[in-house]
Amino acid sequence: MRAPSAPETMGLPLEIADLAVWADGGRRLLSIEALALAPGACLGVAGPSGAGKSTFLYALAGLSPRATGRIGWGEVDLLALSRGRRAAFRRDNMGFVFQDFLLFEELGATANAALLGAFLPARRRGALAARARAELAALNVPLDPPRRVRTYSGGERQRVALARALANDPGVILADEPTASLDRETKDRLVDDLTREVRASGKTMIAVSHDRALLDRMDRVLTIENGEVAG
Amino acid sequence: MNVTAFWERLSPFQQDLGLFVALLVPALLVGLACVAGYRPYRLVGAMLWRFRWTNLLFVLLIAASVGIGVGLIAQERGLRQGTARAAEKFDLIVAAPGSEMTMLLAAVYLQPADVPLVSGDVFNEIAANPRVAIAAPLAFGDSYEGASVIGTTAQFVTHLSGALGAGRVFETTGEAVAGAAAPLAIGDIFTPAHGHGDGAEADAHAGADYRVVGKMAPTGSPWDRAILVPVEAVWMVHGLAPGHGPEWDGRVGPPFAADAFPGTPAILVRADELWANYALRSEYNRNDVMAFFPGAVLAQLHGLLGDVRQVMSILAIATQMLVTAGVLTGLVVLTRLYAQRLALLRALGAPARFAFAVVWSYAAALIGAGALLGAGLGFGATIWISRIVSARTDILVTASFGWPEAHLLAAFVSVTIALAMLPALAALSRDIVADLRG
Repeated sequence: MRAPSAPETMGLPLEIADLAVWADGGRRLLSIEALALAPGACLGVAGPSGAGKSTFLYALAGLSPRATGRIGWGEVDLLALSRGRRAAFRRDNMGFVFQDFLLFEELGATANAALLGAFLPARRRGALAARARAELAALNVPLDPPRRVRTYSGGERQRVALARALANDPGVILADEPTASLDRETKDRLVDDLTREVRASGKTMIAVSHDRALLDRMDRVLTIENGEVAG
Repeated sequence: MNVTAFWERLSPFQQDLGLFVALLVPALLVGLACVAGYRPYRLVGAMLWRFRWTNLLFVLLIAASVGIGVGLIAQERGLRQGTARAAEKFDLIVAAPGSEMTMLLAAVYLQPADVPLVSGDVFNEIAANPRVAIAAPLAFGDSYEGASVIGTTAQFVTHLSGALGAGRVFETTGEAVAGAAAPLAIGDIFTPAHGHGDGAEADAHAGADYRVVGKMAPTGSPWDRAILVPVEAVWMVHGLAPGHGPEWDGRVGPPFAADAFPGTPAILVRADELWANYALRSEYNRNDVMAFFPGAVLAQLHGLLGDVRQVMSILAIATQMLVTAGVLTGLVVLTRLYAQRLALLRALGAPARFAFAVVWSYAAALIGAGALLGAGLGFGATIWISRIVSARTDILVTASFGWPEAHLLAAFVSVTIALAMLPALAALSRDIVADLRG
């Protein structure tokens, strides 16, 4: 099922200390004093809408322009890096799954799954493409005949997005409400696919979700309310 | 060796090519610097396809503005070259004092005009001048089915046409040579009308028939539609003296007898050497007669056309600036439509330069396609307009794609593509998280 030549990266450990994310006006959106995750751990993030769950997730990716404290991914303190280095870190270590898929609708499934190839160094493109195809196959995404992803069903599209997240073999998967746009039956299948693929390769995962079925499959669930950890 | 000296040693072609490349290089360098190491083409293709109708509209808008600019330049040059070619054979015109412009239009472009005549004394004086190689009367006024009938000499026919396309030059007063596009074939017999157009009296010259014995080669001038006859015949048809004394044996052409010479509206003069034309012009600019170079009068006209061209160029450039501004605004809007996907790329770890390269390549594709299409449209319009002008005036106007158009195109592409960096930069400064959430 997998590309045999590409060794799998182990998940990265996470260590957070005194993390705070601020809005433009200086209001504090999120505050987390301390959090540690072992490599390969799966963390669910729950809580009411607008409580700061997504803010937390994007801060972990180094995408928040106003974040202070320490976000340690393995040896790397993400917030100490420049914007360009954070982007390079995401490219090499993180895969993303979004609520509304965020695919390039005019491209095919393979092109979407191997999207990183557009800006990856040339020597890594071959391995990326091979792994993208392997992931699509493992997720049973129909590839024949080739067609644009806009013609795929919601569940198929999210599986293409999942293949894209896994294609560069990252140490971390960040998922933002990955099942929220799907119907119940498709949700369950995606939860299966997501947890199976992530755990099989030992990746660390953080999934923001309201979906009990997904949260139940996590090692641990963090509840965020009013920008703070509630339990 | 300094740069100026180097530049001046280049051939005009090398200079034109150098300027073209220099105008395009900024755009190419920016493009190479943006895209180096990346493969944004599929994404750009997806962007282009996703908003294909909007993009097509942009390309057409750019094409229209570029087409107008290219068309104006090419058309103006075509007209200038065409009118100059038509006047090439007319070195010096001698006529009764009056308007040089009227005489130019009448003698070179065969536009009907009523002008006073030059006497036989003057004609013989010119013909006898040792520096004059050709002195030919041009007696216009009659027509046949819209084609001018001009009385002149066999020498002029040969001068104008070189070797005839078919047949031979007229030898008697009953013979004629038709221009390449005149409505007559060899062997046809016709009766000229007095005057031109609606006012022509068709039966004024009843009984005065000509037989066509030769057909000129095409000259690319209004003379292609003219019919040339011996000048003696024109005089005789009008009931005037034949230009020769009572002992005349009927052979047409010079020498003419001054007292039997009824007059001619214009005389074409060609000197044996180029410099002598200037001497002849001063010699025959006096109280009873004027002499002018059609080329010089035409140059004045072209100068006027050149002023018009400058006004048009400013208009064309203003149009292009407006279109460019519109395109840039549109690009900013389109970039916003695409903001979520650009934010996605950056979230996935694409460097800022890659996102920049995507927006820039997208803009460059629209601008490049618009410029190429515009060049085609402008050139096509020039071909079409030139055909109409040639058909209506018989001045052969040929459309060509010249360096000025290429330079305009290169400058437009370079400037617009450079400006397209602004929407690309604007796209970079957006908040990734906000855009990701849509």
